[in-house]
Amino acid sequence: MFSNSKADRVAVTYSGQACADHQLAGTARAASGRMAMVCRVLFCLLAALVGSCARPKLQTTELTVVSYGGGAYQESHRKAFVQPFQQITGVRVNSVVWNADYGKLKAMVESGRVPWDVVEVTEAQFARGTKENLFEKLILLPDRDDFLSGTVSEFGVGNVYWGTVLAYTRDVFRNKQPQTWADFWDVDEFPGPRALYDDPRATLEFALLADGVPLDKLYPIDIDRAFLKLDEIKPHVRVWWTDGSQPVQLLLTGSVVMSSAWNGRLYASDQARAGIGYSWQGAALELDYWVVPRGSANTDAASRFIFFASQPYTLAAQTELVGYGPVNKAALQYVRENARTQFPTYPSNWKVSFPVNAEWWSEHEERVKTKWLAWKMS
Amino acid sequence: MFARVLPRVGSLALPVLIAILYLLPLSYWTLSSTLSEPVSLPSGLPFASLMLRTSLVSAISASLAVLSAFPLALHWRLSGYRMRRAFVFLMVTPLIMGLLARNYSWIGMLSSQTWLSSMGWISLGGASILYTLASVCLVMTCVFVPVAFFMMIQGICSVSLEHIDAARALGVPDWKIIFVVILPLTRRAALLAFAFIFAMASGFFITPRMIGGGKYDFISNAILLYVNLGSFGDASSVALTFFAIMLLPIAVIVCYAVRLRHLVMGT
Repeated sequence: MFSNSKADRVAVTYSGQACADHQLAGTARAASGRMAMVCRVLFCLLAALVGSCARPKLQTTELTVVSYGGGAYQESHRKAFVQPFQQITGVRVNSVVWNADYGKLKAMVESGRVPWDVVEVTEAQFARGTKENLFEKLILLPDRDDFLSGTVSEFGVGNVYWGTVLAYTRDVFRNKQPQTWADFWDVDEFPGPRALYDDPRATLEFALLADGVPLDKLYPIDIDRAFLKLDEIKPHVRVWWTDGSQPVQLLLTGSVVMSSAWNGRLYASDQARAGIGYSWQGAALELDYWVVPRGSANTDAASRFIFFASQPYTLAAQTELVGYGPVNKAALQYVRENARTQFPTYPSNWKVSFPVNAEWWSEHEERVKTKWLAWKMS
Repeated sequence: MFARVLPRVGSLALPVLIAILYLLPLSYWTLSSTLSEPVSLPSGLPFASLMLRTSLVSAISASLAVLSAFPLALHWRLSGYRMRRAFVFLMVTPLIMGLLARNYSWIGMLSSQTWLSSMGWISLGGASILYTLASVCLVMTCVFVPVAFFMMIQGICSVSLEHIDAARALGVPDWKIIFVVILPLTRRAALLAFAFIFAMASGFFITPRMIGGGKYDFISNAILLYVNLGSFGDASSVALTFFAIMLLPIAVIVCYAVRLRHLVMGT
């Protein structure tokens, strides 16, 4: 989906936006924390008021919102989206976690019994699900102009960009820290056990970066070359992690000294921030989408929830808690500067990382994942 | 006439009912997916290697669990009322804890750097045992010991205390009593426990993934992969092929156990 030129355009859009935001941020910083909170509450009330005026009153009493990842990410959802939405609308929101298992969503929709109302999916799943007609059309869409190009469609709204970064234990690498994926592969210079995500998505790209492929030449992925490079690091990988909390735990307990990790997990934990360092060089950026699965009984309320969650204030509150980059550019002005620098979409971070090509992955995922399983067995 | 026919109909109706209520829902997903798409294993999938690893680790874990449960069950048989209750309590507790909690406990314990919380593992190699095939076998064995225990006590109950006393009175040493009296009487229960645990262990995917650090996938991990991708046809093909292959060793063990019953019980 992301051609390189498109990725560049997105980066440029963000860079431009960030410059304007620096000025806006000055005004925002001037306001005290209490004032900012009052503003946020007022905005939430306003958003809800606008929503209720535009449409008939909500008949729904309960909504099931599904996000993936759990941990700090779900906590940020609960604080920024779920609780305010519940207070404003009176609709009880069940916050549920899933592991982004596309098959589960597909089986649910095909069976016709859909207990989920709002689901957060990856960009690749959004592309595939839209093709396979798994999503409902949204009845309420946020202002497209506020969003990064191409992230608002009638079937879903982009939420946040998150990054998979190179993380390392600070205590182990006090003098010289690993900064690139080539460093990750360099077991002589940076000795110690490693951990990597048990998924070829992004991991193949990391291998290619370690092999010297430039950021803008990663796609289409040279699969054989990537696996050959992975052969080199395989004996040093102690754990192939599957859950976002694992790399943090592995690094803090000293089970491994280096790992790929989701930036939000490192950002949201005080313990992780103190003990774990990370680098944005060659980080993989992925986009999440809000969708309403076809067959949901509460499409109206679900659409309103997405609209609410896509507003600048709500999105700013969430991303500030978890450190992911809001797709709604207007949200940036409400985020503290020191938090904003940790976002994947912050210009200096964005410039040295790459957006994962969802289109390529949605086409090749099954074949590559089978090869991945076989490679791990070999 | 009716008095003769009705029990026969009843005895036929029961398995049919079981088939409908139990087996059909159990196999519905696999069969419906397989019938809608022709059965063929996904190309590139290392099915034989996965099958071999799954069977091997399951067999080792089942054997170790039965071997570990045997002295516990024997002790239970020879103990008094209070001790028996204590044994049952100790065996039931881990079952209540749930698999996930136990897996995390093991990870915490094996990765801990302190002597006390790692229960001495640190001096035996400590963290290095975690995320290895040995740790997968160890944890799976511990998971199945209570299951083996409860299956073994069914067999060990057939050991008569009078027989043991008689053997002792004749001057037979204790180790010989175990081999000559107790083992033959409990072999069938041990075999059934092995078969049952082997079948259960073959379907495991959480423990190998968590304790093995993602390096020792089982066949169920492959099935899960295709389910997660929404490729239900591939998932059911793998599941069905696995099921067909696993039927053979399980059938052999069960047939042998039934034959043993005839020999031991004389029925």
